[in-house]
Amino acid sequence: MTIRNMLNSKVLRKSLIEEVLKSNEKIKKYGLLLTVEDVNKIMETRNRALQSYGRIELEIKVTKMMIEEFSDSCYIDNENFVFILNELQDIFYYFKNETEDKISDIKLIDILKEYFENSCEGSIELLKSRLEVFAQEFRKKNQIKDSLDNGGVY
Amino acid sequence: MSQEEGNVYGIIKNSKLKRSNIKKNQYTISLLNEALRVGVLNMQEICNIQSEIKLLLKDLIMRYTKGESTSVTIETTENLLSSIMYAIDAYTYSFHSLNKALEHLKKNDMKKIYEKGIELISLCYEETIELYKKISKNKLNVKLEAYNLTIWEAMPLFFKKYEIIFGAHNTMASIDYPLALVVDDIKFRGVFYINKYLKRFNLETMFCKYFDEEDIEKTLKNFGKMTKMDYKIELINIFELVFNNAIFSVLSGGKARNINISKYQYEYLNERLIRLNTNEITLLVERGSEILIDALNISDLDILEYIKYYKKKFILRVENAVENKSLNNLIVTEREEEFKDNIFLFKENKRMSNSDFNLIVKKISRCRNTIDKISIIKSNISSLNDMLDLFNAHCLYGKEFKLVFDLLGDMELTILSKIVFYEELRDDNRKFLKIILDSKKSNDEWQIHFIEYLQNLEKNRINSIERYFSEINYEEISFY
Repeated sequence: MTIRNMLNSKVLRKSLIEEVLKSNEKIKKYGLLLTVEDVNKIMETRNRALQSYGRIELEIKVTKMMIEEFSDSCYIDNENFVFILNELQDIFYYFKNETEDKISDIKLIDILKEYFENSCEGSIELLKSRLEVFAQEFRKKNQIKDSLDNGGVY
Repeated sequence: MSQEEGNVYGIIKNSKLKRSNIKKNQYTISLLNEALRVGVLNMQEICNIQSEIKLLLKDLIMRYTKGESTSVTIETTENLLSSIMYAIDAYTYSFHSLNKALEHLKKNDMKKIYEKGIELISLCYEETIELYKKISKNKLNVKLEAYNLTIWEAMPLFFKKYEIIFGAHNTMASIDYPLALVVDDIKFRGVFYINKYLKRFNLETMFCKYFDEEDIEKTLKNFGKMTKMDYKIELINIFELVFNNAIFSVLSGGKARNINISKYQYEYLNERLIRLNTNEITLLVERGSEILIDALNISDLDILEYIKYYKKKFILRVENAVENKSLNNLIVTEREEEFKDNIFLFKENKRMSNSDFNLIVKKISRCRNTIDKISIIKSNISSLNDMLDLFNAHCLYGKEFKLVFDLLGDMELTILSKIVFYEELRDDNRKFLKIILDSKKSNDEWQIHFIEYLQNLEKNRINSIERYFSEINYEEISFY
C-alpha cells in the first residue's frame, strides 16, 4: 500500500459504472440508451483523458452531467452519442487545464453546450478551435485581473 | 481519551510488528503494510481503510475546489493526500506504541482518526504561535542576519501561509538559522517541525541569556575575524559559540559568564588539552560543564537536557581538534580591532543591460589589438558582475587576462579572491599566500589566469588583500 497505488485502486470502478447507467432514466425520453459496453468505453476515454491531462477525479459527476446535458442536443442521436460524448470528455478535461481550474465544472459544461449547439452547429472540430480562442481570452482577462488585484499595472 | 477508547488496547498484544519496518515519514501506511505482513490485518481490511482514505480525499477535493470541480491536477491531489496522511499520522503517532496505533486503526473509521489528527495539528499550531510570541519578545539582540530573519520574517510567513486542512505537511519557510542540535528527523514536517525547531531555538536563546549580549556580539565578531568572513551574514549558531567559549573559559581559569578568551587563555588551553587522551578530554569537559551549570545556576530541566545532548557533540569536536591540532578553529579568541567596520570602496555602479553588454563583448571580440580591448574594458565596464560576465564571455585570451587584472585595485582583487578561494578561506587556517601557492588548477579559464596572476604578485600586495578579507563582503555590494 502506497500513496500512489491508493489513488490507482479499482475498488470504486464498478460502482461508478452503475452510477453512469442510472443516467439512462433521464435520457431515454430523447431516444437515447447507453449499454454497459457504451459506459465502459466512456469510462475508458474519461480515464485516458484524465491521465493524459494529468488530472485526478474520484467521482463520476462530470460524465453524468455531460450525458444528461447533451442528451437533448439536436445534433446528437443514438448512433453518434458515445462518439460525441467521448470527444466532449476529452475537450472538457483539456480545457479545465487550459482555463487553469478557474471555471467550475457546471459553467464549463454550459459553455461547451452553448458553443456546440449554436456557433459550432454540432461540429467537434469547430468546438475545439472556438474554445482555444475562448481559453486564450479567458487567461488574458485573468492575468489583467490578477495584476490589478496585486496592485500592479498591466 | 475516553474510557471506551482506552479499552481497545491489549487486543493486539503479541504481534510480531517490527519497528524497524516502520517509516517515520509514512507512519500509518508503513504500519498498515507491516500489519498485513504479520497477519494482524488482512487484505480486505487494508482495502477498506484505503477506500475510506479515498473518500476523505474525495471530500477534501470538493472542499478545496469549493464544490465547483470534481477533478484536480495530480499535483494538487498528491498535496491534498499528503495533508490527509499527515493528519492521520499525527494521531497514530501520538500513541507511541505500534500496537495501540493499530488497534485504533482497526476500531475507528478513518474519518474519525483524520479529525482527531486535525485537532492535534490545530493544538500544535496554537502552541507554536504562543511559543513564537514568547521567543520574539526574548530574542537576543545580535546582528546575525540568519538569526534575526528567521524570527522576524521566516516564522511570520510560515504562520500566515500554513494551511492545516489543505497543506498540513508543508513547511513553507526559509529557516536559515542553524540550530546546535539539528531537527533532522524526517518525520518532522509541517507545524510539528516548526514546533520542534522553535522549542530548541528557545532553549538555546534561554541559555545565551545567561551571558552579556555585548560579549556575545563580540564573540561573533571575533569568530568572523577568525574565519575571515563577515559574521553577520554567515550561518553561525550562537549557542555553540557561547557554550564552547564558556566551557573553555572555565577550563582556563576564567569566569563562567566570561566568554572572551584571551590569547593567554588559549595558549594555556592548547598546552593542557593537547596532552590529554579522549577519556581525559571527556572527563575534563564533563567537569567544565558541571562548573558552568553550577556557576550559572541553571535549573531548567529542558536546558540541562539540551546541554547534555550538545555536550556529546562538543566533546567529539574537542577530540577532533586536539587530534588535528586545530584548537585555534574551535576556541574563539579575542582579536584586536584592526580595521574599521565595513569599508567599501566599490561604488554602486549600474550594471549594463544585456544588449549593451553583448555589444561590448562583440566589440572586444572584434579587436585585434590587446591595448584596444583593455581600453574598451576600462571605459565601459564598471560593475563587478559585468566584469565577471566578461571573464566568462570567451573574448579574452592568455596574457590579456593579466592586463585586465592590472586594471584592478587591491579591493577588487580581494573580492575576486573571495570568489575564487571561497572554500579555502572559509575552511582552513592557512595564510593566504600559502593558499595561493598550494592552489590546484580551476576549471574556469579566468580563474586559472587569476591564480597565476596572484602567484606572481608582490608579497606586500598579497598581505594587503588578506587584510581586506574580513572587511569586504561582495555579497553586500550592490552590483546593479
